[in-house]
Amino acid sequence: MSTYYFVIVGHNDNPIFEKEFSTVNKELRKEDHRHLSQFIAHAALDLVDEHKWKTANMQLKSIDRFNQWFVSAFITASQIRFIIVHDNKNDEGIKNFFNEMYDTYIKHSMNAFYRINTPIKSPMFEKKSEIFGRKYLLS
Amino acid sequence: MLHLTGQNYNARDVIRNIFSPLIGVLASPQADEICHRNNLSFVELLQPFAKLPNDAHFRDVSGTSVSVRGLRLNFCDVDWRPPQPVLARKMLNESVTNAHNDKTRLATIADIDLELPTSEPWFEQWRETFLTVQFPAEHEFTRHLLSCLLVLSSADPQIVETAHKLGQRVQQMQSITPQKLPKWFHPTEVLNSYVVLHEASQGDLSKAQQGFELLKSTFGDSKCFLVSINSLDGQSASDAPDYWATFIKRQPKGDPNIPSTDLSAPKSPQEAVSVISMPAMQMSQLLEGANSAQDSDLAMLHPLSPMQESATEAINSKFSISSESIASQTINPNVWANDLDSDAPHGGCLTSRDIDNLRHFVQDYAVRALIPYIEHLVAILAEGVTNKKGVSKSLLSATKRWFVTSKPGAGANNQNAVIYTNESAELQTRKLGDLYFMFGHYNLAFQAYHQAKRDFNADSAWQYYAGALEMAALSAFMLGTAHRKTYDYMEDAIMCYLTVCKLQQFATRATLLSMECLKTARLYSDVAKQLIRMTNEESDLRSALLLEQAAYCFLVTQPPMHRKYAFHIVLAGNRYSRAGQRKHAYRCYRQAYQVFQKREWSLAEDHIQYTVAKQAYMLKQLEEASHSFAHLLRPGSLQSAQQQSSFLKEYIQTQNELLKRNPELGLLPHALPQVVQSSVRVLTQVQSPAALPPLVPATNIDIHSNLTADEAIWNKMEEMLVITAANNKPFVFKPSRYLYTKQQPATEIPVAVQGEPIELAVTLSNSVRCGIVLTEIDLLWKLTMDNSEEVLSNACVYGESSDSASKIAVGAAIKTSCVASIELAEQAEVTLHFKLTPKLTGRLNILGVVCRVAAIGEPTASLLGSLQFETQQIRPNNAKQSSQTVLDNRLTIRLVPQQPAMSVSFTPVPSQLLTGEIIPVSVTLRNLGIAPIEEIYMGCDNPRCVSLLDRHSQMPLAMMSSIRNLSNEKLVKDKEIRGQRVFGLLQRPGQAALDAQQGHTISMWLQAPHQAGPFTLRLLFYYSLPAGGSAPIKYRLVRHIWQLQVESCLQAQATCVVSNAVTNELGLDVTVRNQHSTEQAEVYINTISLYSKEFNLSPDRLFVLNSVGVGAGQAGAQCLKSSICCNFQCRLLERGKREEFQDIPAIKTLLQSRLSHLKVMPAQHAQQVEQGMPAMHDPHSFLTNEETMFFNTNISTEEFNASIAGYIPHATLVLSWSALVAREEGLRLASGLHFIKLYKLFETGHCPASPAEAFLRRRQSSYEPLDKLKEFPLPDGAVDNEEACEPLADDDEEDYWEPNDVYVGQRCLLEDESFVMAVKA
Repeated sequence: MSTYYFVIVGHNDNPIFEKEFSTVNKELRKEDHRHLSQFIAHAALDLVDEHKWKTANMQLKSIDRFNQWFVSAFITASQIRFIIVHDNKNDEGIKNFFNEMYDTYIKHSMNAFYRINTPIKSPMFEKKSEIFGRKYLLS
Repeated sequence: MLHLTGQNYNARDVIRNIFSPLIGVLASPQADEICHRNNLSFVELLQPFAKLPNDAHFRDVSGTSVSVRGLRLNFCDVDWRPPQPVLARKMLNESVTNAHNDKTRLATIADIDLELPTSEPWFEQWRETFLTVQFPAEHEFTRHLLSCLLVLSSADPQIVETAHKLGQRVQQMQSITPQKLPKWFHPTEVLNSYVVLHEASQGDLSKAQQGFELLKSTFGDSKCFLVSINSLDGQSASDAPDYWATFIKRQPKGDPNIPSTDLSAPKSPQEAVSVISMPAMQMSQLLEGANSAQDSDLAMLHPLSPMQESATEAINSKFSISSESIASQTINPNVWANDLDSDAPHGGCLTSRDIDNLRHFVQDYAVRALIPYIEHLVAILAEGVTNKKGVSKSLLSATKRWFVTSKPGAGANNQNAVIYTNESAELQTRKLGDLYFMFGHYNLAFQAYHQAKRDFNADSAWQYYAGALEMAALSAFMLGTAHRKTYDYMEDAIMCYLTVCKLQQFATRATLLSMECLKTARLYSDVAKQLIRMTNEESDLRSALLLEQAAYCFLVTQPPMHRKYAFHIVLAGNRYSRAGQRKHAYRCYRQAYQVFQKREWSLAEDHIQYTVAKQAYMLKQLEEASHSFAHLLRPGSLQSAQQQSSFLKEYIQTQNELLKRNPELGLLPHALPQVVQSSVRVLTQVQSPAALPPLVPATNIDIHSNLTADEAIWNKMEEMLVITAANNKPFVFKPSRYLYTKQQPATEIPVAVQGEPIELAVTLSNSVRCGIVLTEIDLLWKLTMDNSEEVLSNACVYGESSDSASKIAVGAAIKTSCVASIELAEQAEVTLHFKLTPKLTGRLNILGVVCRVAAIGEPTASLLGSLQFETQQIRPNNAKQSSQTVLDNRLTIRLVPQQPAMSVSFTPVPSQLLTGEIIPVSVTLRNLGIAPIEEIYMGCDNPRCVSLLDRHSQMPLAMMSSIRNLSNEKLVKDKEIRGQRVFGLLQRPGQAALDAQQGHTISMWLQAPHQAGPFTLRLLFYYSLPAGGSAPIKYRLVRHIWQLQVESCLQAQATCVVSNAVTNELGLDVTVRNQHSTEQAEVYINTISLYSKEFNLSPDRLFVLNSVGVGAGQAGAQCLKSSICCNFQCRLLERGKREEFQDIPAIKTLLQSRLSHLKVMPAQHAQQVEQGMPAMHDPHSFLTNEETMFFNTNISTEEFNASIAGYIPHATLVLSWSALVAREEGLRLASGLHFIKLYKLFETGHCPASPAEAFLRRRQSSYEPLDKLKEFPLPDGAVDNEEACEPLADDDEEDYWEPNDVYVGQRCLLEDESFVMAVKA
């Protein structure tokens, strides 16, 4: 039983894409943690901003934790922050997931009709993230 | 008594105050009485002066004198006991509840403005209470009584006996083994001093001196003190300020209804839960209630979790003891001083001299009695420590000490296995350290603690070890030599208390102390870390306070971590709400919202808003609550339907409660549904459907008309009508407007007529995921009367204070009708229609919609409120105006007095016509008003298709030009154009066109065009209003539009040929073909007629060339069934004499002279059919229309002149036909005319025009550009509204080379002049 909450955060600390991955069936998840995931991810932004200048790497690894939740982060060259709140260790999977999502994000941001920092509403992007989430996070 | 609050203490002051030497006080009843005159006890009396004004000097073992700066003595009643846990918890709770600070300061971090409290008195109060209620522990001696003061009164006659009695009592306490509370620092040898209070206003000083001397001789010189106080008798006001107010905390006297209880603890665990969890989750919780035992087994509980069984249990256990049982707890009256009035001023009998005496006494006591005693104690302890040094308790511990490096928590048995006797060297060391620490000798204290720490560590006495570590760290801090290592001491101490000893209380205390040290060192993130670690499930209040402090720490780190702050303040708020501290919970969540607002963290925002709403509701801040609930119902929320419907329910409940409490608020705006502001449409003139059933009323404009398409055409028609009616009087034309929408903004104020309805349509959208019902729907308006400037509004109907008179006035002013209720499904849109009938004149402002909103599931819980209309801004058409903003006036309507109104209705017209079909239509005009209508005009956009019996016809110019050359006539282009399109109706000289209440019917015919396809015909009726008056409307209009479908039926073509080459007799080859798409259609050719200047049809010479397939039909012997073709030829007969007219003849005469007829294959009802349409030779026949050249409305004068100058000789062949068409409703008999114009020999004319002919005509048109002017084009330039322009018909502007598809033979003939049919005159 593992859950992942993935969020892309824009420059104004605004979420531009959110997705949850869970091995647990939706009906079975009686506790609604969704707002907590948002709180944790938002709070971790402080640490992302602190860590981002300390390493040349885009992968910031696990940077924060709160109770049983870990926060892993990735920062793009344009300072868009990818954050995953997860409840079990899966460094390799998260790393791969981040890399694939980075690729997808770059492609999406090159769309002339997409403005940086606005919510991503593309169904393709949604689908890709779904695929990578299943492939790297839940498998 | 500790004092940590309200004095702006720095970290060192705080620590010094916490560890100030504790002095016991025992007062005799008489002494108590003296003190009580000041509304104080003796302990309280000393509080403000407990700090020594001067430095004291203290000599350590080596004889070195150390100056003690700012020593503070902590006086404490010997009967004081720390409260029992339940009471302590209540005290802690109340200390937080009662502390407020509404002042805020503004901090701007990362461009976010944060409003933070200027100070946190609730935390300081709690800390003070927390440290006060702690029980003294075994492993430390700072909380043990060092010495004792026995307080006596000088008025006591047996002062020595009383002193002995008190002394015995104290000694009893000191000698009990094992020790009970209070604990004594050095029980075997306690310093007991005697204080004699003398009342200066009452007693005799010399008598007091006597008693005092007696006491001195009994107990020793240095142990006795005389203090003279109460110089005033309490009657006159004291001049001394109230020093005590800030020091004394008394429980407010027992009124159970004080608001603090109302605000603080939740009354039941259920309530506590409902405050925090979202309602839908509560549902699940109820279901899960049975298994709560298992749930609480979960190792880690989520801090914001809705699953709070264990938390609930915690609260339950805390508050299971009812408030009565808490009240019945034994409260030591001396300590909690309930018998003293908490509000009365203190120190009423004291003068400044008395206060000096008290100050002096404290100093005197410290220097003369206490410090020598302490020096003595230090000497004893130091000696004990030195003697026993090296002599270990046992061989075992010695080996252990040297060979085992123990760590806390390493051993299996972590509990304090080691019990030290009071005389053990380890405890002596600790005691020595405590003494040094209390008297400010931090260097030696550190050494002692360090030593003790090592010893305790070796013995695995972890509690002692942690205590020593804690104190060592503090010593280092006080000494100013704190560094990483000593901070780690503290860290280790906390961890040891927490994990090994499981002593939450001490761990918390150590954290609070550590917080002060680390804050001074600006190590804020370490503070935050330690504070957060101390949060647990056991104490919500403590967790809340510590989390809040941690949150503030995140704001002062470098760089500030405002997002961490936001998270932790939310966690703190959550804990506050679980602890029942609603005010603080509300405050924390509001602070958090400052960070989260407008950041699109939708769910987090919802959680915050929901909690804010709930807490505000509980705190009776209903306006804030409903505001937050409204925010939860915003569009684009991610909450589930279930969640949203419960939000909606609570929103309605809150708003209703708010309205109940504040009826003066009147109508509040609804949070939902949303008004789609751009969808507001206003129609100021609504045609009453006055027609009787078979008649069809004029279509007019309805509220949904899309005006963009053809408004330009209507406007042009209106302009022509108005100019015709005005009889060339100059004026500026402005099209009248009735419908105002987003596309047609109201730049000027719309006008409506009193007594006639105004329609308004608005679209409402439901943004939530649950259905809602709207009932009691009404419009909210305001009417400013013309004459009296009186303002009338129907808002008062919905207000509390409405009287019946104003309700009647409102009802008499405007009548509104609308549907009674509508349902809006989840995320649906519904358009509401209103009909307003104003009964007064003035200026009407439509403000919004009033309605009652309820959830579909619960129609009983409903909320009355308003949905406001916003004034829209008009986007300027051109860039120049863009600087100024123009506001739309569509909701501000001017109501003018009653005007005549005319209704127009028509007999019905089939929706599907055949090409060229002619339909009779009766137009009924009825004057509904009370004044006669002077003039009526009708305009038409396609006059070729309309014929009016009533028309006073002039001869069309084209026909005229066949008689004489018009090139020299003085013709005004515009007038001619208008003349073609505008018809005066019911023109009766000297009389009004239509008297009041009178009706009139006019016959009219329509002819369908010869091209199949959609056909639109517009009629615009104009009627003038009585002249005079400054009424803004001078005339009114009625629109009618037919939108019909034309089916192709008869296809005819004719060619003029030389039928007899010898006689040069000309003949006409005519081919007719039924092209109707259905099998059943039968077409009969009744008559052919020829309109020609030179030729007649030769009677009896009709030759049928091909009639294969022509058979009997239902209405005649010869009919053309579907796709049957028939050819025939008729011969032409040249007219003998050329026509000569002296004068211009009547049209009828001219037509009659030029027409000749020939019957072909008539149907049985041919006679009847021909009666049904205007006779061919009538001036209003369609032949006249055919022969008329209709001018384009925007041709230039040159083109106009050229077109009337030239006459193209031609003959027109007219085919009169009838057809039987099967329809769903039965057979329909249709009849019509086809026209074929023939210009040249061997040229084939088609009707409907064939593409080839179109080419041909087009080519001709390149020589004769006039031809294109015959079309009715769109008046392109006539209007400035560009987007309104849509080409009506394809015009001939494209000029391209056509293939020459005329046969060579034909070409030869064409070029031969002699064969040209029309000889040039």
